[in-house]
Amino acid sequence: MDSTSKKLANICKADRISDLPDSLLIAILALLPIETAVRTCILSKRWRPLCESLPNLEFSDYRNPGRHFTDFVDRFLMRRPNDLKIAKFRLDCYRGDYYRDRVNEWIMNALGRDLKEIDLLFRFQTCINWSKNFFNMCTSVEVLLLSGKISVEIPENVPLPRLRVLGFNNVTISSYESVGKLLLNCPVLEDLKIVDCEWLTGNSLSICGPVLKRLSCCLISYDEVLRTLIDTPRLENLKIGCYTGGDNDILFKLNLPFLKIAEIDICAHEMGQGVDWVFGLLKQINHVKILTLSDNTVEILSLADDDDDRYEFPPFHNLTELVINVLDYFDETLLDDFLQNSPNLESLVFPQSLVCIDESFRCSWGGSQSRVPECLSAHLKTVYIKNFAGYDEELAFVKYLLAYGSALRNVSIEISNLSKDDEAWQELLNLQSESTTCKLSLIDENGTCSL
Amino acid sequence: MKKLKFIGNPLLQSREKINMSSDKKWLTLKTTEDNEEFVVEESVAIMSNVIKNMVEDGCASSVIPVPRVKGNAMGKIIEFCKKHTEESDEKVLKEFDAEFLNLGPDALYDLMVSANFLEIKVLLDSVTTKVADMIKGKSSEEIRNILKIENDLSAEEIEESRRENCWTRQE
Repeated sequence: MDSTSKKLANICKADRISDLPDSLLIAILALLPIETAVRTCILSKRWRPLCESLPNLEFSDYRNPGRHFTDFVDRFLMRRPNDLKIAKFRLDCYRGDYYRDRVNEWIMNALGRDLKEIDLLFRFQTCINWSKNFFNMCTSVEVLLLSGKISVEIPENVPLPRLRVLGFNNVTISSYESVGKLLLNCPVLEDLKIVDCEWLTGNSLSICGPVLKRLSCCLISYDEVLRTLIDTPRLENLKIGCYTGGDNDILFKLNLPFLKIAEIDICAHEMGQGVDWVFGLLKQINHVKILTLSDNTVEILSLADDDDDRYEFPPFHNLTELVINVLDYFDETLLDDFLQNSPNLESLVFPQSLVCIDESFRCSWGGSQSRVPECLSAHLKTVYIKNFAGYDEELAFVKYLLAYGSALRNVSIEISNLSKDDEAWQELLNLQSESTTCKLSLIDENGTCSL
Repeated sequence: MKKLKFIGNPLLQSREKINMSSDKKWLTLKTTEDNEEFVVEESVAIMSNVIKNMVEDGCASSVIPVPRVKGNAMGKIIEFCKKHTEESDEKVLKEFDAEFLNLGPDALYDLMVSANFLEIKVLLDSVTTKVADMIKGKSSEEIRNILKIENDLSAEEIEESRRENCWTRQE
């Protein structure tokens, strides 16, 4: 091509993007954080009005709180053509304290536009009420997430026919009973989160979800007598966190036949409490594939009397991944129990540590174990140990794994607070070079290490 | 002379052999702008909702005419659809997409328009994301340069916009 033709071609090629239809340009803008999207307003006449049609509005004042932020949100919502819908509205008030009236106006405006998803987070002092007015405007809402300084008052009989995801995180809720009633009006709810909330009154929490798949329920209040009943026949993913002791244990109405993943965090006020209940819970969920136990739960199980027949370990036939958090108390026989009863275990993870602080609970591996667990000889592929400190018992366990783990592919050990001169380091390095079928990864603060 | 492009087994020489082969169904797509023909497996072609509807309605007899899409763009689109039908590994697909979309803005726009017209959601989403990534976090001037947008606003209009959006100004 000669130079004139090239120039012509270049001129014709200029600004091709503005030829695309509005819908495609808006689709591009919708993928950008709003700060970037808005910068296209000064590019050309074509681009100027596009931002006003963005379907998803996410505002966060993290970088620039204050008057400019409120003016920006004001203009964005108010200047939008009245009939133009908003699909998603997210407001994260991180640092500023805003006038309640103004915030209420923003929410009303957004809710009035056939909104599908609303996510509000007030970290500062701005405290809004989420009550009848707002609830009644949620007939089109599919996702409702409220976090922080929000005071939730649930009215009677509020219909939420499209709600699939509901989250109350750190908010203040007027009564336990009102939540139960609300859930009865959510026929398609799949995902429910009630975490670390403050409650003003009540003593009975009823969680009913005929199609609920994921439930995360963390109740930090322990000085009330609270009865919790969970009726979720189709649950697949469960996370519960609460205190135990006495009357306030959580009851599951039916077994959970579809449960695949469970994370359990039960904390006892006094030592020895909660054993019955935690064992009962394990028996109800023994068909899960992935199980995570917090250090509190592990402590309760460790303090159980081994000789007591009530505490017979249930079989975990489907368990492929087990995550055990260890802090104050960890009875090694508990680990042996789990291994012996989980024939199909493939992955074992210790995110905090392998041994507990209390020395009297540690025991040696290799000698006292009755027989090699089936999972170890056939299925266990990966083991991850964090905060390895070089204790004899830890080394013994690693040697045990390497000696009997026929299917073992990878053992990863994160080492902290251990000097390289320590004997334990040398032992680990030796094990690393000796093991042929299984890769032993040693990771210190600087990265992976080997001989 | 018509160019016949086979996106499939290179050993097969003629359309007759293809039609006789086992259980796979084949379609011929012809770009009406430049008369290029492409023989593709039906399972690949129906990644386009438009073609899928035609096949289901029984309109797709021998050759499906495809307007508005040029031959070389069609070739690339088929390459994309084929990969996405064959491969199920997310990681491999991600790498493929990154390499595939390593194009200049003009080529990307062409792809967008075609994917939009043919209603191939996976491709459209990939290209849209790529273009968005190119301008994420950039200043107005940088965006203008990357996307080659011509300025036709007056100085007052620009100033007004800047004032309204001062919250987003990069400090």
